[in-house]
Amino acid sequence: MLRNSVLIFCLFISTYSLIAQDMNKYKNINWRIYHQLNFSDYVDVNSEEWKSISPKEKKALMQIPENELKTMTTKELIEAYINCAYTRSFFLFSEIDKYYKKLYRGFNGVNELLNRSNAVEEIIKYYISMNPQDNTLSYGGIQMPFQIQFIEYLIGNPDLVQKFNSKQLRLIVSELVRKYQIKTQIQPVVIETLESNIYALSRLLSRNEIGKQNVVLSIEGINPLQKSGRIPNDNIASQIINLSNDFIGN
Amino acid sequence: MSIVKTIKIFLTLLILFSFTRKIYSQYIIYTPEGRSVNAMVLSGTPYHTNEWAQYWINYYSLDATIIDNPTRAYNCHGYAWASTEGIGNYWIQDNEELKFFTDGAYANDGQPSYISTSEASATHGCYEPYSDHSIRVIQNSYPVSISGSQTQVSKWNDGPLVRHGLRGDIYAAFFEEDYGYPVPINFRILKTTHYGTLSNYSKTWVGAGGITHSLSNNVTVPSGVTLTIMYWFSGKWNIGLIKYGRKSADISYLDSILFSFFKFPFSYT
Repeated sequence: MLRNSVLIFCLFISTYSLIAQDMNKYKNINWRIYHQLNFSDYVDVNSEEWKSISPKEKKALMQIPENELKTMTTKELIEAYINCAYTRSFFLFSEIDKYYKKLYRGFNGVNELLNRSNAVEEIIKYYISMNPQDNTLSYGGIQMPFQIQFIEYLIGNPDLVQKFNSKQLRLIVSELVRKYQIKTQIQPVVIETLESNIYALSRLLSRNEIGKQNVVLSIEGINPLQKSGRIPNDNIASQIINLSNDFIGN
Repeated sequence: MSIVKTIKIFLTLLILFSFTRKIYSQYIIYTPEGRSVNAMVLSGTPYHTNEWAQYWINYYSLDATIIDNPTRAYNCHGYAWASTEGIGNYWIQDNEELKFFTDGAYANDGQPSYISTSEASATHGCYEPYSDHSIRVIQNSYPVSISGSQTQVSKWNDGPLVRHGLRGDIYAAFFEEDYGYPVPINFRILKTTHYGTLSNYSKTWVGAGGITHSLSNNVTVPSGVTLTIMYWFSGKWNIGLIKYGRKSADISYLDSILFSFFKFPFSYT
């Protein structure tokens, strides 16, 4: 009996040590790699080791280590957000608030970004610098149209929308309209890339001090748009763009 | 208003009307017992790609295989509760799908269209309220055939259609990584027994995939109520009779022989 117990104990310890060893191996891989579409170039996804790691542990591998998190610039955090696997999970949710919730739960880089005092300023700067006609891929392999959309969905995030001061609000509304117009000039026009502009604008224009909240909320079909973050029709788009132009004085 | 401003507005409107189009329409569809459900028809290119879905399959070592390409025609709820039941392709927003199994008040027997059951006999599953996802449990090789332990199939929002094992989809993995335990699944099966006088809500008896409905004694359809019978008819009909209150006595019921002349789906008021 005692011999069996000792054997089982030893087996447990050796299995635990092996798993711990495996985890250390995986922890030594840079967290950015796990967010990339080609992460399987670095990890054998068919190995029993990889398969035996729980979803919770795999989520932990994607997090930015605390010491690095605090020293990253806000711009680096914006780029981490663009390349984050949970950012791409936007496409998995019918409701945008559930996506935001998943993003906060999934990636510590987003929480850090939104807590930075210069977040709004840096996001505006970054967004203005993005060119819809640019074909550059991000370090995570994300195409420019998606990079822009991810930033637009970040701008429309209810937690960020409230942080723009009046000057920043005019600037960002103006830039969203400008990007919208540039996107409509790129042939062929990809309608879906316009959805994030309209969504972000509808959220910004819903702020109390702008005085257009009631008009925005009375637009037919605005509820599905604000709930999903997509599917505007031409009626919604034209009304939102007109209200935006009215706000910025165009 | 200055001429420049007028031209600017004109050009903006021109751009808008040239390049935007209506990419969704709203519809009302109904549960089998007749409860209304808000649904949409979307067009346009899906955001999701197989590549991105495969990323999650690899990352979480999901027991899953992509079996069809992304489409905006339907999402997970639309696939499970409408498309695979022969109702049509719709996009059903979160929580609207709950109506398919909380519509007992619309039935004469107080039971919802889809009743609670075990995993083994289920045709459908829903992750609400823990997570927002609907699945089809494959039965009799419907809606697709089983492959190994992959006994379920679900649509990943506007992404691909994926066949997977129990909790082998990304929504179950997301839940487990956040909460540390498997997502609870609300398993359901289509109600297929009918009796008595139906309620005053129009009915649709669905059941694509070889499901047979049965009647306990006669069933009476009240005057003004439409009963639509979908693709399930398999000749096992003559357990009871359907009577239509509005019709005169000599055609007050339809028997199995008469039914065989109709092409399905078939509606009768």
